[in-house]
Amino acid sequence: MEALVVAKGLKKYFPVRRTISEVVLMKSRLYVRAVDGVSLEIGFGETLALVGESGSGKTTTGRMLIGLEKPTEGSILFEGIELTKLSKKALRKIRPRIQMIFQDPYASLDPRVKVGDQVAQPLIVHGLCNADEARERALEILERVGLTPSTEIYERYPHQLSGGQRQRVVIARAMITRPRFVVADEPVSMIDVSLRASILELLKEFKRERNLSTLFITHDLAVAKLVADRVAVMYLGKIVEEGAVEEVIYNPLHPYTKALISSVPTIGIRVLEKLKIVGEIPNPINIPPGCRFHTRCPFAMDKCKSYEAPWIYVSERHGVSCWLYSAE
Amino acid sequence: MAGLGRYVIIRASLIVPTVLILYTFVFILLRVLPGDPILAVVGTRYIPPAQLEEMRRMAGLDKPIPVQYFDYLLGVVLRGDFGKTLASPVGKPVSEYLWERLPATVELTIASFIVASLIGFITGVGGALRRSSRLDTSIRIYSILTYTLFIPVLGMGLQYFLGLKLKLFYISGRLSAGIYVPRLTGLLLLDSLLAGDLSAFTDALGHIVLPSLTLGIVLSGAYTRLIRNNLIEVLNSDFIRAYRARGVPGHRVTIYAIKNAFIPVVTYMGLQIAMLLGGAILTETTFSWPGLGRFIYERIEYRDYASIQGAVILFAFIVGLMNLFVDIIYALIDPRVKY
Repeated sequence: MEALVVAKGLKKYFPVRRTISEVVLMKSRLYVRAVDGVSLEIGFGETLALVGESGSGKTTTGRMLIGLEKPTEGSILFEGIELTKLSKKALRKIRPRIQMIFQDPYASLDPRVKVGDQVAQPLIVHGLCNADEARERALEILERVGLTPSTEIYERYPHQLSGGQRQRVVIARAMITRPRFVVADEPVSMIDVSLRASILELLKEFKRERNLSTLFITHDLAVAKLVADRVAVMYLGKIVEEGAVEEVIYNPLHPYTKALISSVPTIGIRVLEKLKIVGEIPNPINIPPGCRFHTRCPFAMDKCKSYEAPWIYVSERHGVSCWLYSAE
Repeated sequence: MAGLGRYVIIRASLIVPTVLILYTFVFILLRVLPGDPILAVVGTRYIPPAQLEEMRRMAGLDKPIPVQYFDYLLGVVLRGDFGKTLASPVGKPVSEYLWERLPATVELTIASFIVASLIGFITGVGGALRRSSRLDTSIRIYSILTYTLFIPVLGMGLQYFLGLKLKLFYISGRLSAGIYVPRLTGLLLLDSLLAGDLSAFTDALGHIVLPSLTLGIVLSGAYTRLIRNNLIEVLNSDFIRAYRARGVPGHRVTIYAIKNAFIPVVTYMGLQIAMLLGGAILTETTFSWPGLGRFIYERIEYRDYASIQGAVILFAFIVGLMNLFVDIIYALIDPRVKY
């Protein structure tokens, strides 16, 4: 099956701002290698969870996929169209079919615009319908995401809603244009735990009803297990392991994935050895040579320090980038 | 809008303690300062002690200090009487001076405010939209430099180059000799236009450019920083990213961002009124601008209690009123403000 979204070799380097003394001393500009060669595919109606610590490049990857950031290198095909080569204007035409759900429902709504108008706006911006119809459809979708009475909610300002309600508004706003592909960036991490399940359920319903493809960014493997079909684990700008959700969670291969799973109490029980990694994720300005995880890896060997591990398929639906699984 | 009415009344009543505190402070300061108003007027002339006592009695300075404090306050509140000057011309009601001098300060303040906001807006927005560019760096250096500027130094610099060397503008006063503008509001730019006197208008404009530029530039840096930093913060927020993700055209996203970035700026404008009036004292002195600021400066030399107290009360009242005005605007533009 041809995938809806195909990304190949995505890279994003951010220049580091130099201080005045560094400019004067003519020090060369450094780069943060936020995303350093990511390839992934998302099929029709499929949810891919992108998992990793903060600073692993998950969010930047998501932003590149919806055209909010221009990749330094690499290609993104959406419905067979190369997004990275599109002009701003052409990209705007595709926007209704690609949407984003943000992490912080307090920050992703304009505090000075009524929520209803914010939900209706994508329709008007893209000239999909006139103002009256847009209002009608906004009311409908507010109702659909469980914000009732929708006529009352429509007139409210973001600060008059709770966090959970705001996130429903954000979801309504993303869904109103009937997108094919949604990037959901930690959509429940800032929601009260008691409300998370209902928000996740809402996303799953949209997925089923509309055959929606989703890139679900999260640092929480438990959440990934609930929503995703496949999981990709990211570390320092690279995907280190990828596979079907149950494969990755019940049979993790990469030491980093194992460590992530050990750190989740509810599903960590199944992992035989508790694996602990120490330290913080290294600075993405100075990515360690060889396998970028070797500085924290309890199984690090000599070759890990100098050579990057190849991508190894252990089964049809499960791949890993680690020397432990190499025949060499 | 009943809520707004209550809000306005509560905010307005806060002006009373503000004015009272400032009056008390100035009253005490004047009494503590060395120097005596009667001796300051007399100077080196010889006056018999009996006559000095008589002058002191007429000015009410023989009464106990608490009585002086309340006499003056009650005079202002009940009769609008700001006392009489002790310096020459002796006995002229202070309120007449205030009435004469106030419009000059108001005009200068408004003009400086416009200059400061315009410079601040253009540089602040420019810097934020072209963040980290050469332009942005220059703008940031400019905004820091304005903090270090001393009004008389900048004023004299402008007087020398733009006034004396290039002869573009007048360097002192409000109006050239021989030009008369009938007083309606006391704002010369407005009055000359109302009178249809274009030459008087250009003359008044030629006079106000340098002082308002001086005060405006000094105050603009704070605006630059505030607008730039706020706008950068808003531009980095998720809801702006959300607008972009939805395909809202770039210039409209910028307008949404500016609207949000402006909320704190409006608050700051209210705070700046006090700085404007404070700066007016130095600016008016530098440019011989016949406003309230220069009036205070002149009268301090004579320890002219009534004049100084009167002018300060008026200043405090205006600051309070402007802050009230800003608070109302704030409540109207920000849906989050509850009243």
